[in-house]
Amino acid sequence: MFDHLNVVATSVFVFFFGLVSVLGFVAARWKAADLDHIDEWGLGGRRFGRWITWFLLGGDLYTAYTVIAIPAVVFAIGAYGFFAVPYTIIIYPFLYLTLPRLWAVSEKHGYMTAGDFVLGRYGHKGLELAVALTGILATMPYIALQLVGLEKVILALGFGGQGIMAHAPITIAFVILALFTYKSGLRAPAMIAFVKDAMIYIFIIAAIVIIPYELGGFGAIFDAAGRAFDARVAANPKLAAGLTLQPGQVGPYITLAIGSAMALFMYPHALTGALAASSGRAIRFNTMTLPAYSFVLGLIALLGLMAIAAGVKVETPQDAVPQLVLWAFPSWFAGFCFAAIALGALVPAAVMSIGAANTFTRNIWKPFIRPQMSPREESLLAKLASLAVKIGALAVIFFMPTRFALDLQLLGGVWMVQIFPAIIFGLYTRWFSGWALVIGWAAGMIVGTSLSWTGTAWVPVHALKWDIPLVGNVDLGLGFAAYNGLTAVIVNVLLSAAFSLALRSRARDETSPADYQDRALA
Amino acid sequence: MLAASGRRMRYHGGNVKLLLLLAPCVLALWVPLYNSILPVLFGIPFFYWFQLVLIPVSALAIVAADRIGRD
Repeated sequence: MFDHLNVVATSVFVFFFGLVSVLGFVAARWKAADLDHIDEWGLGGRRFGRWITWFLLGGDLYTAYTVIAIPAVVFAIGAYGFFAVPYTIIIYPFLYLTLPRLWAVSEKHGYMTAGDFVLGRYGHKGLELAVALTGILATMPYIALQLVGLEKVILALGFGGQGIMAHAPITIAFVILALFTYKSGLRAPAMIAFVKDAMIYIFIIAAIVIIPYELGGFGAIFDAAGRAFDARVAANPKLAAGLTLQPGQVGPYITLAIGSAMALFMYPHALTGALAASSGRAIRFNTMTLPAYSFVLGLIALLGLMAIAAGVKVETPQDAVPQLVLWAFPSWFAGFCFAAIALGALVPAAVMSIGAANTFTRNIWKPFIRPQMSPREESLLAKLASLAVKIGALAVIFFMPTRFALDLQLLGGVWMVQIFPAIIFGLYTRWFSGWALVIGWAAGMIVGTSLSWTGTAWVPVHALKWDIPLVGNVDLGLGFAAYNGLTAVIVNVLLSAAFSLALRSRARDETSPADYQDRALA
Repeated sequence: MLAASGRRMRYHGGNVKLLLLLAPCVLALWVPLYNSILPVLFGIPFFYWFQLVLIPVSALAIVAADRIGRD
């Protein structure tokens, strides 16, 4: 299994991986506090200032999977993969308005998860359960995909191996991750994120300067990529690919950006990172500074085109970035870049498992199984749950085809956006009632999932017309395709509103309007 | 009298604030505006450089919106 191993690259890789593992364990002593309290283990005691939050959220949201998958789409079909850019542009103005309100009310009432907030706001356990289940369901495949990113770079280092040995390196990496997350909680990814983000920035700056130089400038890169797309489309006229969007891609491009932006901060790992901030001010600061990562993401997307121009050979488009790195850089720096991507998998995987563990403990176990849990028991259960989540993710990689994890991740986004009405509208009004939101959520889940199934494969977009049994073919006449998550959430909102008119809620609302005000501003 | 004009100013500031936050989003989602190769800048087609430039512009717009109604 070591026959083709790139020894220099692997040594550099192992060195950085080891360094970060040590940091992960040391993190337990950072801002020392009682880690047997769930608020400390699972939210770092809400004491992360603006810069720690910047590194943590940046490391958490811009994942290894993104670094592999976005350029892979650009490599395969060109402009369409750039949807990540408008997606990350529109999200920050939106977060600037909404996230400090969620932080303020959460700090006031000790909420750690979206489910906590929903229960406090609407006094409805069913809605809390729906929100919690959606989060856990969407997070599991997302963690599994981080492993795919990790596996891609380890493969590029030259590891071979059959059967169980093929998975040995990522198993070792994941056991280390599981142990330091168990011990240090959210402090571990927060501390590792400093190293990881610095390495990613070095990797990208080097790539964006050196690779165009080697390829004869950006003009040559875009020319070569354009010719490659033209050739592919000539060979397969049904393929939609090119340096700009094809007519049929515009609708999906816009709606995918909107829907993904709506879904992102519904994920438990995104909320965990944000609620761990020490003030609303720290969050506002981050909405102005996190776009730096978006810019890097845009540059990373361009790596897909550079890989075409460099003529790298790949088995799947997901190999494009690792192969480009091997093509462009000496071994020692390739090892550095791969370590950066691998650590880019560990930070989000850690935060995701913590977010899912917090959600399971607070919104499923505590309310439905054992209401009288002490904070100490909560912390222990969350730690164990974080282990279980990681074992589950490993099992997905071991026993399921990667295709399945990709499909689940795609559906995860469609599902996640269905809790948007309950959370975001809830920040401004209690007009919606708990049962109505549950009904809207259920409808959105069903519509989103069924739209995504074409009979042969799962796809994220669907023309705005479909066959409804007994009713016939419904065509909205808009003539374009849209992201299923967005279509489904519109159905969700309409139903939630209609049922809220009929079913007025008399449940208790433990929050008051003043709780949502950003005290740092007042 | 003073209080009323103060409120009107704050209301006005609120509109500018929302406009600053909204404008980059509209530009980012107005795909037909930038879905073209030309004009090319440093060898990079318009589609790519327009969106890349829009990222720091959007961040500055949030900074500007944040300044309104503070200090």
